[in-house]
Amino acid sequence: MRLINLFVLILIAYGCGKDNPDKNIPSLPANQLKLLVLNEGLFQQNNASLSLVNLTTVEVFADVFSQINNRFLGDTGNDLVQYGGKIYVVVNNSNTIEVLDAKSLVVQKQISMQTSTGGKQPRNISCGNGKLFVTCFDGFLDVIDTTSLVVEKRIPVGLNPEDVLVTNGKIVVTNSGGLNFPQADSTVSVIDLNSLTELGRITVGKNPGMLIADNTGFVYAVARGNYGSIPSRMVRIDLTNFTASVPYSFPVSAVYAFKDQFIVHAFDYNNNLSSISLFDPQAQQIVSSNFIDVNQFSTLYGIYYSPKTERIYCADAMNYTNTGYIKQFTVLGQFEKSFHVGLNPNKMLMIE
Amino acid sequence: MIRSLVILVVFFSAQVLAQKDLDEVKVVDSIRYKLGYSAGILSYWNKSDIERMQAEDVGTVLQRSAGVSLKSYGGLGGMKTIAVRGLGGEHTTLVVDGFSMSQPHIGQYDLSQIMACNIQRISIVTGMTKQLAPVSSVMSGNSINIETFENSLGAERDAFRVSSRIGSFRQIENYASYKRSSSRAYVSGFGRYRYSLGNYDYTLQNGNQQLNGTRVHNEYQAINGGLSVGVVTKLGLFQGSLRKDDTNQQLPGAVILYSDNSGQYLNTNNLRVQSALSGEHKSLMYKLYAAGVKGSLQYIDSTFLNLAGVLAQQYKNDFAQFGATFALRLNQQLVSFGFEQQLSRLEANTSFTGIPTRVHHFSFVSWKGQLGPILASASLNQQIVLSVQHDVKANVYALKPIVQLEFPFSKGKLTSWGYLTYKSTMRMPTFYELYYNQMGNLNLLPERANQFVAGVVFSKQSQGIEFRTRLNAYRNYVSDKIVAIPTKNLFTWSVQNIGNVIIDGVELIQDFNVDLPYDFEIKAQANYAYQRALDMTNRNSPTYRNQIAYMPKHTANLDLNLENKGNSLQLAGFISSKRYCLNENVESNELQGFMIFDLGLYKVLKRANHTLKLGVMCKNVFGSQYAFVRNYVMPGRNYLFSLSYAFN
Repeated sequence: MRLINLFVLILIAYGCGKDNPDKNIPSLPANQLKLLVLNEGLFQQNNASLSLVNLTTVEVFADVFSQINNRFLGDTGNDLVQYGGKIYVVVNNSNTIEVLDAKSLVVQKQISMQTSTGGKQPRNISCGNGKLFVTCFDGFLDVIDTTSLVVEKRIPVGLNPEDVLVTNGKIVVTNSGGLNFPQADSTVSVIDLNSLTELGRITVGKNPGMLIADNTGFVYAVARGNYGSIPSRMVRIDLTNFTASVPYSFPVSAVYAFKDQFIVHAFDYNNNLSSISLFDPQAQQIVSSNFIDVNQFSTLYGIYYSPKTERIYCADAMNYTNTGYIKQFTVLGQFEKSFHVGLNPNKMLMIE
Repeated sequence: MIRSLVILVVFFSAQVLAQKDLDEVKVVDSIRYKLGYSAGILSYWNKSDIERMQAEDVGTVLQRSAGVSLKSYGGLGGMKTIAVRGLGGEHTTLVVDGFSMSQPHIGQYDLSQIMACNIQRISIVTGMTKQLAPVSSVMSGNSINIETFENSLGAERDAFRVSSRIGSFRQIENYASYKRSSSRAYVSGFGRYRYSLGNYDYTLQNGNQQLNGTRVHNEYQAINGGLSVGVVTKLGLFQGSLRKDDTNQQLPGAVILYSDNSGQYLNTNNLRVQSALSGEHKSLMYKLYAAGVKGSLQYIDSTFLNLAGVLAQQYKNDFAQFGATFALRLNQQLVSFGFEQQLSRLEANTSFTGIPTRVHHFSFVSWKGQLGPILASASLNQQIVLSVQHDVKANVYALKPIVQLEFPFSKGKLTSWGYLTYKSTMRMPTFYELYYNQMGNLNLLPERANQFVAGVVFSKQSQGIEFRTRLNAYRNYVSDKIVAIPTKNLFTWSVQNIGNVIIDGVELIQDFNVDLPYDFEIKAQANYAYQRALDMTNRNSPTYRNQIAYMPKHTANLDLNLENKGNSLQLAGFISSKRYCLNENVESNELQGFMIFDLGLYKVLKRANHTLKLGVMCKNVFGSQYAFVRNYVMPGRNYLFSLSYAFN
């Protein structure tokens, strides 16, 4: 019996012990291209993180934010952009924007996105004119000065604004109305970049999400429908005449910039069929219907094209509860290699 | 003494079929309970055990059992659920005073809402249930059986109980109960009020930094009351009761780094009426029972960023059950059979597009008898489920067996007892899993479990020292496990039958009772459980053969009581090894193991028919910072003072 008790104590002690050595803080070698990956994490788990892929040495460093800054990034990382010498990370459920030095990834400031009544739930960022424009789910577009790093103005827009795009002297915001589902919004707000006042709204279709611009001044919005009977489609917006085209006939769930074309990811919620195609805005048509084989992904969660490496990087979120992968492709859509990153990778940036 | 009792148990087990008096069967059961020898009972506590623990709710009691994994969301009134031997909480049926408290809309019980102050006995049943148990509990994976003070016959007298507790976080609990009883009738009533402001300080590890904060928005208020009556009639004992439970609470949610926006509220109301008739005629014992529940639940999110500025969801659930169970003595055998019918209905102002309704039929036939030295039991259980929401049906038919063998193999002064159990059970998808907007899946199958248990008990007594060692080993297979996963995007989850889990476990339970000089006595129990619960769903998944989420491999409990003439000093400890918050066993998903210790003093003063009990408890003596669920931080050191008075 004594032996059994001893055995039990050993097991308990073993079970309670730490069996993971401390990780080393990664060095950030200059003049080497590195892919910075925002891992969204899971809601209420405080496990958003940044992974760093050194493309020269093919090393992956997990959770570099906390290793460099000695604290976690927060809950639900939603957007990652670089503007000048700073990187901005939107952390949705923590209601923060982390401002990092683009070279060292050291935090310069944490901007709190809260009001006296609660969190603003920041979603996405676009930059221009020395300002940062942040969509906030409480119905505003926040304007942050990139020098003072304070919120200078709150511009009221539609319900639950999702994406934002600065283009040709205007700021375009998609009003998703996602938290009023199934009565979602269906408009985009157009704001003058200089006066920071809303010029008007254009109806584009139910539940608008991602935005992208072409080289000729047109903006494209993805109206995501209701994930069922109303399919997800893309529309073209004419900011001069304040009009939107009829939706394109092909399905579009998400759209990403690729040279002067768009990579289009389509997922049909009715039949679970998925595709990654190439859309040419000049030709106004799909020019490659199977640009990248979608069967290489469990859950395609984001795409990023780097002109510096001339490679396409696709984020695979697996089943959303397992750590994900970044898969690297050539400009012809051929798979090259993959990198194991954090939980739910969604946004990427190439830094030097 | 112990040996004699065991011989009695064997004797009674063999002869139980020949007994004519229902009370005698209860005597046998109580002996088996006391010894913990029954193959079907994993753990058992009586009133004095629970009083010494100064447990604020049933979850606190059950946490001390080997093989039980508790998930607590923190604070008084914070949700507590348990998984017994790795099976999800939906596999466990709660039985209170002989009635199953089924909740088909959510499928499991919040054990923090079940008060402990009026409990006479509580047990975790993992094998065959005792005869005349509610039929739905016979065929569930496990059941928690609770017997309360208010619902039993007693000696001819008036009895009165009143207790009050005051604790940290402005915690107050007052309870009063009156019962007038005799051997042929009783009438009783009780009321309870519980309140806690609930704010407590915490420390959370944030990378290499420590985040100090106060968990707020945690206020809790509960009011419970009930009336019961029992009369011995020509047909048997008729029992009826009425109970009302109202709870209003704030939901603090997880601690979210850099943001504090808790604004959720949960209000629940339940009215329950139940009655039963139990008796015997010649060699037939029987019990007829019926119950009805009318409940409502309101969830409010005052921080929701929709046009209305608030999310207010209202759910109304109605539940009715009736059933009959019989036990027939045939020479040296006992044949039991019964049925139960349940009708459930859920109405919601949002989230559900229709009014889900379910008719659930349970029936069983079982046999118990002596095969040489082996006491054998076997049961065949049938479930038929008709589930309807508008014209969409999710119907199920299942036939499930249970087999249990118990056998003594004493040698010398060591009393030994062995048992083997096989149990095939299932749990139905809940209304939320089937019908909740966007997330629900009408094609869900029941989650199935096959449990194999082998165990032995060794017991010995000599010169004032008693010990009992119990060792269980088990393997559980869970198939078609129901899990919610994000499918369309991270905010749009769907419920799927995608999981297969194999759980291997070992439990070692050690009891000591030692009589010391000067009327001192030591009562101690230590238990240790090993659980390897592996995800066996998909060989190509990164989580294949990983330990499933929130299932510690190692847990241990210690309860040490030093008693002397009504005074008791108690030390209780709980140890959990690390766990993972998701099924992928990587460092970023780890939750640290922890140890917590409680230290209590308890004094009983007895004069004639008057009993006064005083208690003080320091919980989490060393102020450990820990969490059962990631980011749901638990309180540090806190105190509880209790005073109770009982007449008769």
